Amino acid sequence: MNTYVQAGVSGVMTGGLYAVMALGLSLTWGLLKVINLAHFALILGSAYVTYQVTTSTGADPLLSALIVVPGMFVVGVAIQWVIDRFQVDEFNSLLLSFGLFIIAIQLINNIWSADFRQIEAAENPYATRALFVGDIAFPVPQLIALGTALVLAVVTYYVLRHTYFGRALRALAYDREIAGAYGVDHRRIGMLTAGLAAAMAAVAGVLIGINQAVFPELASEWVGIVFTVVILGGVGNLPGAVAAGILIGLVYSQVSVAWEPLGAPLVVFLLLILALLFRPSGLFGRLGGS
Amino acid sequence: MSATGTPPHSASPALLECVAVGKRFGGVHALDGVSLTVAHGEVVGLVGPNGSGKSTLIGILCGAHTPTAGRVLLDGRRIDRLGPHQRSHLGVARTHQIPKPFESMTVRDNVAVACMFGRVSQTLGEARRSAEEHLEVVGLTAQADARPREINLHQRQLLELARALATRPTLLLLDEVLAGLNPAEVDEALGVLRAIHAGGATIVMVEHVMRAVTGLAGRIVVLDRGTKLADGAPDAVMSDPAVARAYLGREHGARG
Amino acid sequence: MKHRQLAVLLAAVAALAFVPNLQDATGFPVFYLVYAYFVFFWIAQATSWNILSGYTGYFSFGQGAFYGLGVYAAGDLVSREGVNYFLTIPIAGVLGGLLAAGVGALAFRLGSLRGEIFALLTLAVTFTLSAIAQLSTWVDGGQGIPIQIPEYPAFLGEYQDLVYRLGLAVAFLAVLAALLIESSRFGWGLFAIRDEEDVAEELGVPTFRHKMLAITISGTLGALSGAVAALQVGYLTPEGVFNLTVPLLVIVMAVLGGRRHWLGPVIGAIVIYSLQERLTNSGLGEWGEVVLGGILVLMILFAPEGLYERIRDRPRRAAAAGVTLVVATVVAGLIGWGIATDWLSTGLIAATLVLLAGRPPQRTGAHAHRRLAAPRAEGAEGA
Repeated sequence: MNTYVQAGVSGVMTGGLYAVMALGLSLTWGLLKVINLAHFALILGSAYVTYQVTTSTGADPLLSALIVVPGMFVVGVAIQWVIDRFQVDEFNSLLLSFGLFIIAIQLINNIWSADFRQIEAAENPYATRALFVGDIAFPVPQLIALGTALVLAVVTYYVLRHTYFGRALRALAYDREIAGAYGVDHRRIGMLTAGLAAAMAAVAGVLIGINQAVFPELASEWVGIVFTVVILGGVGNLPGAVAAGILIGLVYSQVSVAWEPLGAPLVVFLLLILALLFRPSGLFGRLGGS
Repeated sequence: MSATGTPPHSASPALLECVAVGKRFGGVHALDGVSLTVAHGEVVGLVGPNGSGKSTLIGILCGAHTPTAGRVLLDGRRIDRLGPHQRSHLGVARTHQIPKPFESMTVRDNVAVACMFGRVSQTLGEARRSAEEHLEVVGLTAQADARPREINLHQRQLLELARALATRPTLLLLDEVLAGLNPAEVDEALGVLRAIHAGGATIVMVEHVMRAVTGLAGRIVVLDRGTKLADGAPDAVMSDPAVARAYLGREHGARG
Repeated sequence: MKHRQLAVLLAAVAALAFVPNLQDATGFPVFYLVYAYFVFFWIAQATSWNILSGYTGYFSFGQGAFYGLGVYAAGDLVSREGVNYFLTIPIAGVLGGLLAAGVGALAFRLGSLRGEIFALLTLAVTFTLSAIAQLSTWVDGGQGIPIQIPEYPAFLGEYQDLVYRLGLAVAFLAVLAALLIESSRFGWGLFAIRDEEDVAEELGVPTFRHKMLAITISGTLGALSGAVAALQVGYLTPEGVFNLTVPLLVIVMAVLGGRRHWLGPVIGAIVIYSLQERLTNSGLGEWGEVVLGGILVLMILFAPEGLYERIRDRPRRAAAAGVTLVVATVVAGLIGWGIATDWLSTGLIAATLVLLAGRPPQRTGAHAHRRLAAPRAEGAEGA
C-alpha cells in the first residue's frame, strides 16, 4: 500500500516537472500558433549548462538560472525574430523548429557525449534532501519544481488576464488583423512571448538539472508526455497545464508501480487519444480570447 | 443551372426552406427561430447590423455550421446534417467576404478545381476548358495564368465568384462580394451578378451596399440579434419603422 | 505531359532493372548495387511522406512508424513464424495502410487544431509502437531480432540483385503513385486541401475521404518499403527503427527537392543520401544530423520551394548546374577522391549549390501552405 502512496507522491512531484516543461510550449502554441519543438532542446541545453556550471564552479545549481534564463530569453527572441523576418508560415515553422531541435541535440551529444551526466551529490545541496511525513518522502528538488510550476502558472495567468501585454497577446491570438488595427504590434509582442516561453524552458532546465541525470535522448522522451500535458490541459491554458501535468505524473507513477514502467507511456498515449475523441479542447478548456 | 428553369406557376415548391433555424455558440444565441423561404430564381438580400446573424445563417446554409435547432431543406430535401461537400454536390455554393483563393494555383486552376468537384464532376482536362467560360463571365480571362497574389482585391473577389459559379450551383450564397470596392467596380460587379441571375441562378446575398441590395434583390430579409425582423419587398421593408430603428439607425450612423 | 513523364519513368526503371545483369557481365563491385538500393529505399520513403505531407499540407513525423511497422512485420513473420518472405511484403503493406488509416480517422475527425494534433499524433504513434515492440515478446520483447536471409527461388539471382530489384520496384510504385495522383482529380483535391481546406470542402472536395486515402497510400508505401528494408537490416531493434532519424531524413529530402512535384523527393533523396554517405566516409558522421538540421533550416528560410522548381523555372541555371555536376564528378574522379560514389556526391553537392545560389526568379505564391492554425472561433459574428 505504502508503495502506491509513495509512488503517488513522487508522481505528483514529477508532474510538477512536466508542468514546468509544458508551460512555455502551451503559451507559444496557444497564443502564437507555433508548435516549437526547439523548446525541448532549450530545456535540455539549460539542464546541461546547469550541470556544467555547477560542476565547474561548485556554485549552488539554482544560481545557474542567472545565466540560462536571460540567455534562453535572448535565444527565444532571436528565433521568433527569424520567423517574422522570413515570414515563415505555420507549417514551415514546425519544420524550422524540428531542424533546430535536431541540430541542438546533436551538438549536445557531441559536446557532452551520449553518457549520463548528473550533478555530483556533493555539489547539489538539494539532491539528497527530503521532507518526511510519516514514511512518505517529499524530495526537495521535486518540491521546488512543483512550487515553481504553480508560481509560474499563476503569475502568467495573472499577466495574461490583467495587463496590457496579456490583453494585446490574447487579442492577437484571436484575430491578428483586428488587433493590428487597434495598434497592437504583433512583432514585438510575439518576440516578447517567445522570449518568455524560452525563459520558462530555461527554468525547467535548471529544475531538471537538480533533479536527475541528463542525456541527449532525454529530449525525445519528453516530447510525447509534455505534449500530452499541453493538450490535456487545454492549449494556451497554463493553470490547466499544471493540473494536467500533475495528473499525468500521477498516472505515470501508478502505472509504473502497478504494471510496468514501459507501459506508462502507452497508458498516457491512450489518455491522449481518449481526450482527443471526447474533449478535444482539453480537460479544462482553452484559454481562448473571450 | 437547368434546375432553375421551373415553370413560373405560384405553386412551384421553394428551392430553399429554413424552418425555425437556431444556432447557439456556447451560451450565445447567434440565431433564434429564423424561418425563411426562397423560391426558384429569386434574389434575396440578407441585411442587418453587425452581429445580427447573417454570416451565421450563410454558414448554416452551406454547411460550415450545424444548426442547434430547426431544419434546412433544399428542393424539399433535408440538408442541415450534410457536410459542405455534399451540399456543393446538391448545388449550394458560397463566396467569402475575404477571398480565400488557393494560393499555389493559377487563377484558371482555382476555378478548375471547382469545376472538377462541384455539382457536375469533370476531369482535369475538361475542368480547365470549362474554367475559361466561368472566367469569361466574371471578366478575368486576361488573368487566367496569374497567381491569386498577383491580382487586386476586386479581381480576387471576382475569382471567388467565378469559383462559386464553377460548381454549377442552383443556390448561390454571396457574402459581401462588393465589400471594399470603389463605385466603378461595384457597377461592374453588379453587371456580372445581373448576368448570373439572368442565367437562372437563385441568389441569397449578404450585402452592406444598399444600392446593390435594392437594385438587385426582389426581396429583403432583415435580421437583428439572431431573429428575423422583416421580410418583404425592398420598399416595404426599408420603410418599416422597426427596421429603421434596428438597422438603419445604427448602421447609417456608423457607416455614413 | 503526363504520358511523356510516364514513358520516361518506365524507360528509366526498365533500364535500372538490368543493371544487376551488367554487374554479372562486367564485375563492378557489388557495393554499388547496395548503394543504389539505399537510394531507392529513400526515394520510396521520401515519396511516401510527400504524398501525405507535401500534397495535403498535413505535417507528419510518423514516417518511422510506417517504416518500422513494415520492417517488423517482415522480420517477425519470416524469422519467428517462418512465413514465406514474399508473402510478408503485401501483409506489411496492408498493416501500414491500416495503421495510417487509424491515425487519420482519429486526427481528421477533429474540427479545430487538426493540423497540429495530427503532427503530434504521428509523433506519439511512433513512440507508442516502440513501447509496444519493447513490451510485447511476440513482436520483440526488447531483445532485438536477428533477421535471417529468407529463402527465395534461384532464378531471382544473387541476393544483392534481389534486394536491388525489390527496392527498385517499391520506389517505382511510390513514384508512379505520386505521378498519377499529381495529374488526377484526386491530386488536385489534395492540393486544394493544402491551400485552403475549408474552401475545398465547400467547393465539393470530400476532404475527409481525400485525406484518408492520401494517408493510407502513404502508410502502405512506407511499410512496403520497410518490408524490403528488412532484407538489408541484419539485426532489428525497436530503437533502431522507431526513432526520429527516418522522419528527419525524409523531411529534409522532400524539402530540399521540393514538396509540390513528384520529382522533388526523388531529387532530394539522391542528393541527401549521397551527402550523408560522403560525410560518413569523411569521418564526419557525428556531424551528420547537424548538417541535415542545418540544411532544413536554411532551405525553409531561403528556398522553401526546393530544387525542382528552380530547375524548372530557371533553365539556364539548371543547365549550369548540369555542367557543374558533370565537371565536378569528373574532376573528383581524376583527383581520385575516394570511390565512384564519392565523385558523384561531390558533383551532386556542387550542382545543388549552383542551383541554390542567388534568389529564385519569383517568390510570389510559391509557398502558401495550409494554415496549421485553428479556424477562428466559430461564433465570430455571434459574439
